[in-house]
Amino acid sequence: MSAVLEEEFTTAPGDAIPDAPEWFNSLRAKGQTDFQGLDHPTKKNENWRFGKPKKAQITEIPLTDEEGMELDIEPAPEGVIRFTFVNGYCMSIEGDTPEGLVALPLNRAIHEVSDYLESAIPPMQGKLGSEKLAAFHRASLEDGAIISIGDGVKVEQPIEIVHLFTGAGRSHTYLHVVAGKNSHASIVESYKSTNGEDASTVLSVSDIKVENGAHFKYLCTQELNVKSQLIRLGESHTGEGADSTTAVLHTGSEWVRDEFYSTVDGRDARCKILSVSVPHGEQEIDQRTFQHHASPHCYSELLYKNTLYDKAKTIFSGIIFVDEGAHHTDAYQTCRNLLMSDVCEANSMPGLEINADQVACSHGSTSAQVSEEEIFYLQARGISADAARQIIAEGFCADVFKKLNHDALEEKAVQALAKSFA
Amino acid sequence: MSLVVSNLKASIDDTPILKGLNLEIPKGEVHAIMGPNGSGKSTLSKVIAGHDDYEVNGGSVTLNGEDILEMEIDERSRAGIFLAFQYPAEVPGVSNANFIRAALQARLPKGEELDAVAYYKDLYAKMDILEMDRKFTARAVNEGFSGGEKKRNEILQMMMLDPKFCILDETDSGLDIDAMKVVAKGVNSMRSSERGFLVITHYQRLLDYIQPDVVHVMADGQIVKSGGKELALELEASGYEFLKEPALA
Repeated sequence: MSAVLEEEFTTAPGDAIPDAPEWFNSLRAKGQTDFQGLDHPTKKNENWRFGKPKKAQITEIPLTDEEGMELDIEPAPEGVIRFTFVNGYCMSIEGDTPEGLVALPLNRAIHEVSDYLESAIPPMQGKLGSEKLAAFHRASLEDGAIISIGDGVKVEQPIEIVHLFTGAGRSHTYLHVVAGKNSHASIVESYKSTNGEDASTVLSVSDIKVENGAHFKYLCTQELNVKSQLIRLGESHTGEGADSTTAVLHTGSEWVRDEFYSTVDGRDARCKILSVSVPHGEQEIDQRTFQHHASPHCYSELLYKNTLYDKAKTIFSGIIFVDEGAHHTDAYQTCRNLLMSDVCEANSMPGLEINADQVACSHGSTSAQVSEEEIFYLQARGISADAARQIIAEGFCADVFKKLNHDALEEKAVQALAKSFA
Repeated sequence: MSLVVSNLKASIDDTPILKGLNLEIPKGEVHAIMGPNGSGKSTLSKVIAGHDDYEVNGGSVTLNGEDILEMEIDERSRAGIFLAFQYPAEVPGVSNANFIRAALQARLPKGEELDAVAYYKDLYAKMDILEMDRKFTARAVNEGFSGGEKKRNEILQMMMLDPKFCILDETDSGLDIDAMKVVAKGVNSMRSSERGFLVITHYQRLLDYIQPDVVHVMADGQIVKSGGKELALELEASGYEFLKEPALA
C-alpha cells in the first residue's frame, strides 16, 4: 500500500482547530499558556545534570513539510491492528478492531469518542525536566494513536504503531492507552527514518493507564537515523492488582532525551520498566526515570542496560519515591553499562526516597567491560575475539527483553536489536 | 591426530607452574592425568587452549605436527582442540542453540551459511544421547545451570563441534553417579581411532566409565609417573604419598 502525506492538519500551537470540540481546543490553549509561562531548562536544573538542555530547545525548528510524498508501506499481517503514522500524522489503520477495543487516530477520536477522551486525557507531563516541552506538545496536539481496551477484553495479537519520519524538521507523536479493568493487551511501537539523511526532531508523548487487574505490555523500538533526535516523555499508571511492563530499545538518533514516570497505585500493582540502549559513534542517550509508589503492597522493577561503543554517552538518573503510608513496598532499580570502548561515557545517578515502613528497596548501577573469562570461553569454541564480544554484548542486551514475558514482543525487540550487532 | 607436549614451561604472574612437561597422546588413545591439588593439571589444559593469564616460557605443543602455541585461542579450537571446562562461563542472554550455532558457523568458509534444519536435527540427536531436555536450547549458556547441567552442556558442545582432540578438565567434579554415566556415554560415543582424549581427574571413579589407555601422574608441573589404567586404582588405594619418597621428590 502507499500513503500520501498531505499537510492538511497543522494549526499554530494553542490555536483552535476548526470543528474540534471545545474541551480539546481548551487543552491546546492551556498548553500554549503554560508553554509561554515556563522557562527552558538549564544545566542548573537537577533533572538536566550531565545533559544537554540546549538540545531540548526544539520549538523553533520548523515542522516537517513533505507534501505529497509517497511512501511504500508494507501491509500488516492478517489479524494485526496497525496504525501507520508519517511524521506524526496517521496515514492508515489496518485490521479489524474487536468489540470492546477502540483504536482511532486522535483527530477522529476527538469526535467519535469525545466524552471518553475528555475524561481520559491526563494532566500534562514533563515532571522530570521537560515541562515546557510537554506544554508545547499539548498546545500542538493534533494527531496520535488513541487506544482503549475495554474492561475484560483480551487482544491476542500486539497492536502495532509504526512511525515513519521523512524530510528534515520537527514532528510530534502521541500515544494514549487505557487498558480497562482485567483486560489483556500488548502494544509495539516503532520509530524509523525512511532514509539516512533527513534530520528529524521528534517530540513524543505517551500516556498509559493500566486499570485494576489489567495485564498490559508495551514495547517501543527506536531506530531513527543518526542525524535525528528524539524527546520521549512517557507516563504509566498501574492500578490495583494490575501488571504492566514497558520496554524501550534505543539504537538510533544522535541525541535522545527519554523521561519516564511510572506510578503504581493500588494494592498489588506490579510494574516493570525496561530499557536497552546501544549507542555508537557520538550518540547520546539521556534517560530520567521516576518510580512512584503511591499505595502499599506494590512492586516495581526497573532495569536499564546500556552498551556503549566509540564515543557514545549515556546518562541514567532514576528515583524510587515511596509515598507516606505506602508500606510493604518492593522497589528495585538497576542500571548496567557495558563499555565497549575506552572513550565512551556512562553516567548513572540512582536514587531513592522512602517515606514508609517495611519497605524493600534496592538501587544500583554498574559499569564494566566484557568479561575476559566469557570471551575466552567463546574463543575456546572457535569464535573470534571480536565476534565473541559482539555475541556477549548482544546477549547482555537481549536478556532484558526476556523480562517482557511475551514471546512476540521479545522477538520484535531482539530482531531490532540484532541490527545493531550485525 | 596426536598431541605432543615437549618440555612445556608456563607461569602465571611470574610463578612457574609447568616445569618442563612432556606428554604424547597418539590419536585414538585416551590418556588420563591425575595428581594432587596444585600440581598444574588445569594449568596444562588452559595453556593448551591458550588462556591469556598464562605465559609460556618454553617448550612446544603440537597437534599432528602443527605448532598450536603460535595460534590465537579461537584458531586452536578451529584447528581441532576442544577443552571441556571445569568451570564453564555463563553467557547471559545468549541461548545455547545460538551459541553452538555461532561456534559451528565460525568453522565455515566466509559467505557459507549453516543449514539450520540439519543443525537442529543433529543438536537434538546429541541432546538425546546426553538425556538433555529440549528446553536447554533456549536457555542462556550455563546461566542458572546446576553443576551437572553445565558439564553435560560441555559434552554437548564437544559432540557438536566434532573436535580432533578433546581435553576434559575435571568433568566429573560436581557430578552424581547417574550424571557421570551419561557424560561418559557421550564421551565414549566419540571415541574413535582418529581422535585423542586427555582426561584430567582427581578420582579414579570417572575412569571406570571412560577407560583410559594410559594414566599419568602429575606433580609440581611435570609428569612423574605413567602406566596403564591399573595405576589409577593404585592411586585410589594409596593416594599420592609415594610422591614424597626421595626417589621421586
